[in-house]
Amino acid sequence: MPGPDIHEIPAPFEPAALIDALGPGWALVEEPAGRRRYEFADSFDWRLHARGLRLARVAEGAKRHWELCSRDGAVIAAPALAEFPIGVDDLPPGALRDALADLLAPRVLLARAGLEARVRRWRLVDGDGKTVLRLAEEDGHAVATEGTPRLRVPLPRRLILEPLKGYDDSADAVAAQLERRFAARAVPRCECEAVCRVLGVAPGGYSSKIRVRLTPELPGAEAARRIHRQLLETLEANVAGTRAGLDPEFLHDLRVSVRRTRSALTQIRDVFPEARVRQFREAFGWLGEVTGPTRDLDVFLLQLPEYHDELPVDLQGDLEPFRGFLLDEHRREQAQLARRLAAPRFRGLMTEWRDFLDAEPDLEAAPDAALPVGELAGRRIWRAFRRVIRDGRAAVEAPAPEVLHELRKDCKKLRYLQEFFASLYPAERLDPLIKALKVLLDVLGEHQDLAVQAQHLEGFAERMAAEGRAPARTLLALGALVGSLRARQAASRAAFAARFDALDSEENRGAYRALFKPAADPAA
Amino acid sequence: MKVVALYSIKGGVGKTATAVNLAYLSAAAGQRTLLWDLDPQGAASFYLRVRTAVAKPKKLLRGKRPLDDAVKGSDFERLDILPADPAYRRMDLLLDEAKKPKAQLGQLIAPVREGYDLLILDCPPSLTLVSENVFRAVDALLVPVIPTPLSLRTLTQLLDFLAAEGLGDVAVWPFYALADRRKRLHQGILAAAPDPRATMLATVIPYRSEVEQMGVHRAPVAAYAPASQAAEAYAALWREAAGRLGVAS
Ligand SMILES: Nc1ncnc2c1ncn2[C@@H]1O[C@H](COP(=O)(O)OP(=O)(O)OP(=O)(O)O)[C@@H](O)[C@H]1O
Ligand SMILES: [Mg+2]
Repeated sequence: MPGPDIHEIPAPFEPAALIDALGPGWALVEEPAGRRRYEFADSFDWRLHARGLRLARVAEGAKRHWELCSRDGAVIAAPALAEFPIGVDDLPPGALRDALADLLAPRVLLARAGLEARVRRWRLVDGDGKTVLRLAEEDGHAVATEGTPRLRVPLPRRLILEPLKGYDDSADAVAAQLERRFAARAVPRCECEAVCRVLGVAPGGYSSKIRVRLTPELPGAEAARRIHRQLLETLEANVAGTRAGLDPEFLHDLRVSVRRTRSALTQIRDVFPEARVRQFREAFGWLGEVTGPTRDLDVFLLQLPEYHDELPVDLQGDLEPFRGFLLDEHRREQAQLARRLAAPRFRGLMTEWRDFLDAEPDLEAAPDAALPVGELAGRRIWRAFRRVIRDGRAAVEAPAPEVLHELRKDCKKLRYLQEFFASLYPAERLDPLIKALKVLLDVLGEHQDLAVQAQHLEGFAERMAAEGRAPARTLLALGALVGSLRARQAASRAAFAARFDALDSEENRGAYRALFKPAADPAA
Repeated sequence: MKVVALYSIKGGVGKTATAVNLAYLSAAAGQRTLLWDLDPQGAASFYLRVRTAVAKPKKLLRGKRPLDDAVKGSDFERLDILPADPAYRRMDLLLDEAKKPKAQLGQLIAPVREGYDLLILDCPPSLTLVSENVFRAVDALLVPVIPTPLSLRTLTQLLDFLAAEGLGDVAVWPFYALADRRKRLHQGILAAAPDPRATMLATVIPYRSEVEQMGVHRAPVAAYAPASQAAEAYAALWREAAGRLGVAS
């Protein structure tokens, strides 16, 4: 189905004037007027916008429907019943859900901006009395859906032409007249952009990626401050969504920010006063700990369909009590997490940390505070890399789970450093290094996740049994899952060595040496 | 997408009137509905105010022009029509030239399966290669039968033909149309059991002047006489057929 044609018009639409312009044989039949409300929906991280999609929930009277437009003008319509926040499973089965499922899950749709308008409508009818085009004039406001106070900004008046299939010629003729005689201006279908613009909402404005721009001569303390500030912004952006438990990605992104912050505090060392670093490291350590249980449960809930498929068919149904158990636990943990994120300890940490980052850095307060970040970055990355190589070689000899776990931590530190300091290096030289590291991290991450999952599953099974909530067959199902997780873990251990060899290649080491090795440092 | 055809060997039994009204009701119930006017006379197209087009059936049949190209939006939401074409008179000849002359129609509609929930075919009367294509493409044949011995006989002829062609599995759903209870002949037949090989629909479409008015209003009955007996009869027929097809009514 082609999308409608949208024109901005300076003055109220006059049907008689259009009929005059089109000539004899045509008529405009007025239809009942009404009010229409659009809510433009996207995930918190603007996944639809990033793909050039625009999703609106359109309400008129008691009728509500979804409208998904893509860049090429294709439109999918579907009935809209659920209330925001809306997950993929809340969408009606069909083309709309199919189009969004992979893109969106596990995020939910939120109303990001709104448009409210009075609508007047007409049908353009040809000499046979056949309707060939529907016209709707919208006169309205952009309406903020997030934050207070409720912002309303007037928008230009719009005339929307909806051609009937097979009658595009008439729509073209009308559009031409509108432009020639009524000073109409064709505007893009994606009015969402325009609405966001007048409301001061930036589509695509959120990303969990690190995008700090640094220059090599910046003092280390200043560079660290900028990195930390961005991490803090990401963390804070996710607090409200985490508290409300809108979708698991808020907590995930929040925790990633915490991990990066802790890593930056240790890895970009000697730039802040020692005592403050220790204080904040401990505080963020606490934050990492108290946000852990909810995240673990999120992971299990997201994994359940996979677990289900992994089990023999006759045991699949027996996971149901486990699901109930997880949901109960999740409810409890989530409530506690929400309380914690509203409590003085957390709020105090946020204020104190922000105050610290807002203050001019004291370049005398730590040994490397004044050191140019270009030098500091190379030194830290080079060190972290050498450590990865050293521990990795030992792990190839004896790939015990604890050894691989430690190696994963080394790799993560290296990865974070590369992200923090990415703007200091040419992307075409850094990217291949990041890619090689990512390949290794993937397998180590999988290895660790499987270990943690197996361990947690055993713990859950014991607790369910102790609470008398575990039928024998459910324990059997969980046991079978633990077995298959352990088997998969062994397989990923076997895959490790080959991936590490790629990182430890002559070529890769040379590239690291050339890019990061400080002039004065002894060779590796 | 489900496919049904309004079909009968005999002419003037109410196929087109039924096709247009059922298509309207299907769209109103939420189905994306396409009505294909296969009759070169173009009565269904006329009722929906769509001009019979030069659809270039030759190109259509040779796959050089997508079916969807010729589709027109009706005045009603979700209801589209593929208008008739005078050139459909030569459709038999065109089909005969094709590789699998009896399976052409099924192939032609394949590309629109995604875009519609229900396709309704309004067929010309007679038993031709076109009808054989229709039999192979549908989920069910809706057959209007005037309650007269002659009309019943053509139903029996149709069932015999299907059996002989190995198409005995095709669902045939006859229903009485143009029924006039004042006529003794009609009363007698309505009371008796029809051919046991077909599962009759229980709804009877009465003979009503509102239906004849369709040509004046150029619209489905429900659009200009929603409370009439005829509109109610078509609604009942639609609920019954939708139930059997498993689509929303
Ligand atoms: N229920 C009805 N009551 C009164 N008149 C009807 C009814 N149904 C159809 N008619 C009229 O009967 C005539 C034939 O109906 P229709 O065109 O629907 O039949 P058809 O089977 O499609 O005919 P053909 O075989 O010529 O295509 C038309 O004039 C129509 O208006
Ligand atoms: Mg007909």
